[in-house]
Amino acid sequence: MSYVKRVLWLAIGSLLCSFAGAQVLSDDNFDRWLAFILPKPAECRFEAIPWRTSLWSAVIDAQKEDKPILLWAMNGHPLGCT
Amino acid sequence: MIARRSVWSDPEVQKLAADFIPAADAVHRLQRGRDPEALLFQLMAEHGHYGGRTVPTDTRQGTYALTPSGRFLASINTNDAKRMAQMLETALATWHALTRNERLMADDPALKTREVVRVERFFPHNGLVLRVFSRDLPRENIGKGWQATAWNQDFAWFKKSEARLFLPQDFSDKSTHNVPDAVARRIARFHLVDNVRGQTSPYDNNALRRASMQMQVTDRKGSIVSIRLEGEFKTSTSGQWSVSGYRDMNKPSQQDRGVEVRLLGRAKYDQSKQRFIEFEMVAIGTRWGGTQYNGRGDDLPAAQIGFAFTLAGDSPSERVTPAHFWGYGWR
Repeated sequence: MSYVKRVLWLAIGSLLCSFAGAQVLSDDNFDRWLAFILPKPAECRFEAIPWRTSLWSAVIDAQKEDKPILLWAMNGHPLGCT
Repeated sequence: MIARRSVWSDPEVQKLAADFIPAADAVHRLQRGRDPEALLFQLMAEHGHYGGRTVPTDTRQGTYALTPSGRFLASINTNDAKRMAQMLETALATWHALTRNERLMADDPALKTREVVRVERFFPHNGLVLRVFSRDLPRENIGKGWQATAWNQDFAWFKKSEARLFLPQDFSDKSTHNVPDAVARRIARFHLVDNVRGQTSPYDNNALRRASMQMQVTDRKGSIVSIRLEGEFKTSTSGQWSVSGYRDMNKPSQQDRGVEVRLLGRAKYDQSKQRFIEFEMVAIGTRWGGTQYNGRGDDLPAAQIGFAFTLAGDSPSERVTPAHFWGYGWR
């Protein structure tokens, strides 16, 4: 197990132990909860694709570059809440 | 939402995607709009995987490959990276068999941009734009697979005048003040919602049980004002609705849902730039119940949830409209 993974699991374990039962928010644990909730780099790999945020902006760029368009269209914006 | 991880993070799919101009967009407006962008989508999508479909819904969501001229190449709706890669390869083969005239529009599409009507026109350039993340807190029965580590995101917008409401009138005043009701209500109704496993509905005003938020100046250095934020929020509603996607869509049953959280935050406001340069809030508490598409059909009992709010950056992907923007009442 990599060092990063060990640290991550230790942090999660620490949170579980610290807040077994009702998990509370305080000034002391604010940073830990913030880090826990925010997506980790491995969870954001989909952002490596240079998504345009609208079909029309892709049409304009594809026309200029003579390339096909890949459209990910979902109920709710895929780069927002879907 | 699952596809963020299972499909679009896959190295083979990413490699194939490099041969395309990639775009992500909300399908609802594309299906129903009457502007050039929506009409192009509607004509193209009828050749795709859900073309002509009306049952269980008429959604056309999924992934499409198309030419700038609007010609359909291939499509699929899948969370499987291999199937997506096959679709992209099929699309590229079809693309290469087309002539230039078939691939491209006769006229420059940029000339029609003004005819495209999008909600992003309301983006608050001089205001406050926050990214909002949600995630279940650790627990024993959190589910299996993607559900165990599910998270979601959204954006929260505040106009310049609304952003200023997070601050006291007098920056030298270090007493505690209430954040105005309109701001606290927006946060409660539209952003403290359980979308961890999928999109959900906002809360009506009559579902609001508590939306109390206070701010206090903690420091001033030069033009930088530091504030602390604290709040308590509770929404709760009941009625008849579905909670299991298509499975119970015709059999709504009696349901309850709600969120109750405590919020803490800190922010820095630059008086010289008249904008926030740092903004972080965390809310921790309990959610219960579900909605038709938020994936809680098997997870209705109360459990702990967390929300994080951070300052959005300047990239185009951070200008996506909040999911429940229309509830803001901006015109």
